[in-house]
Amino acid sequence: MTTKPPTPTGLDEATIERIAEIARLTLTPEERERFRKDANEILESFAKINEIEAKGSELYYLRSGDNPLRDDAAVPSGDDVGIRSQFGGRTPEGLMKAPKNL
Amino acid sequence: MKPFLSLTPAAREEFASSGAAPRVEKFLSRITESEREVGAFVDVYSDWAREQSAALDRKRAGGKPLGKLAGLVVAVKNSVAIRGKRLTCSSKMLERYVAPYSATAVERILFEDGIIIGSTNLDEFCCGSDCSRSALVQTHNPHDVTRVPGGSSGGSAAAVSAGFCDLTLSEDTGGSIRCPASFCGASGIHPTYGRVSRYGVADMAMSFDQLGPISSDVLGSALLLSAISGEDSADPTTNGMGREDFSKDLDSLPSKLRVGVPKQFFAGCEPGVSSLVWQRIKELETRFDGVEVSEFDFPLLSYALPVYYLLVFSEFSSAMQKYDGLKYGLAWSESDGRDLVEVVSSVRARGLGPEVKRRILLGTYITSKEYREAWYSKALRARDALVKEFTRVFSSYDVLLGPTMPMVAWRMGEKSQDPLQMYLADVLTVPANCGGLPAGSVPAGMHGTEKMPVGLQVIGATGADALVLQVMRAFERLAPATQTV
Repeated sequence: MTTKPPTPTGLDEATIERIAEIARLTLTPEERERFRKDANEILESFAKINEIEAKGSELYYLRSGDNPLRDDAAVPSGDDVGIRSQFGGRTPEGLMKAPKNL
Repeated sequence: MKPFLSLTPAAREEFASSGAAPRVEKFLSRITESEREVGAFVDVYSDWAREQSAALDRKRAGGKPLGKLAGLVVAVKNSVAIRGKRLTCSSKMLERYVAPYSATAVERILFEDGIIIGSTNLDEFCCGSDCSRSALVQTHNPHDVTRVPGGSSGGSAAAVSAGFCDLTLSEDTGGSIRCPASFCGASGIHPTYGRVSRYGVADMAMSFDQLGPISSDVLGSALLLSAISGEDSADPTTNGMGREDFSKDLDSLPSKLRVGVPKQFFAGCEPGVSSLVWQRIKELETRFDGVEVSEFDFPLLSYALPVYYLLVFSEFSSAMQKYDGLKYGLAWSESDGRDLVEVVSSVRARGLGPEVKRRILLGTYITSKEYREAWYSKALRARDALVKEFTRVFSSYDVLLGPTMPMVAWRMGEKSQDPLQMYLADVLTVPANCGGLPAGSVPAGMHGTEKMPVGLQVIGATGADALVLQVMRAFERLAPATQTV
């Protein structure tokens, strides 16, 4: 029943900096330290799943017997003005405003 | 304050004799009186509730056919969209966001003549088990305001328990209906995955999220589930789900009911919780013909918690990418020379709370190229193993029973600084979510020394929502809900 491959716990500063960048989150030094401590404790506890001999399929959806995707057909999207009025940055014309990307 | 449950049969009688308007005024009056102590709501829709009740009373006076929820007053978890109302997910990120459309479940409640009175508080983006992580409101347990209401749907269960409404539409990803129902002495069910459309729900984890009811009694849950369930072209996970009347035959039980009690459900439980739940299970066996109870070993259950959390972190980190301050979220005004990544990172840092950030970072880590195989893929395969084991177990048993939570509601602040301890509290509710199984919580009675409600959990096989509700109702008959607790 049990197999125990090595588990990559032990998040270091460099890894945390990289995942914060990928996740688009600016962290303070205190937040980084708190996350390092909590995450290592959580992952150490959850490494218990390595005890399971899990050779089955990767179950993404619980309704695996059928296709959960709908046809790729265009349908009206509803209240376009209501959606655009919620944009965080917007122009008077209701267009989305974004900072420079280069 | 004094907890109060508005029981469904009495509520229906009240509506039949006096109409909807006096009921709405009664609830609004209770909210005015006690909401300051409880903090159940993000927003109360006083004017809209009065408009809905007046329209329903005109419909009733005109002799038109009335819906399944006619006259029942409903509150909606604030992670579910109601057109024209704030949809905050109890986060600063969405504090000013107004939903441009309504969730399918909300549309169905209104179609069935339910009256929506307000939106209820939750842990920010459903990330928590005691409602303490709301960035907007602090919710208290009406049974003891120094204790938490449970989470993440803490505002919903508190609203029911405080007598602010008859029913609530809530959402359960890993126990967010059952935990607060248990802590607040209410009933609630997480339906089979796919039973209820998720269209219009702010997603947390796409393969776990499911809407369901919290109510004062099992009949209330059955009625609300009947109203909101069924196929919806906007959510393909509902494909093939027919509509059922779950209130029909609610007082029946099959002539033979095979009950399994996994030993693992009692490991680590507070003794007072274990003894009360066992007492009720034994009463079920002796008081109802055809009930056979067997205790059995289900070792894989002890792996459900890490499987659940690893997958939730992964799905959550992906779902949260859209809150960038551009399409959704806090507005940014000036970029001050910063580029897109810097502005988005700064908006997310300001708008999101510590637990939300922790889950996003953990999810990003375990789905990254280097670690995906060791964590995410492994958790997906472990869930497959767990689902197969559930299928095997349900060939021997019709329902599984145990406590909903291993403890009663804890004191405010007791677990808020220790995320792992908070996760561990979900150990009994997450297995059903890993399997997408219907699972309900029904009050078992009051803890002997703590004098707080204890919940009993009923889990069924995929699609056996009606049976789960029937067994919950049987327990309710053993320990009847009363109007004044």
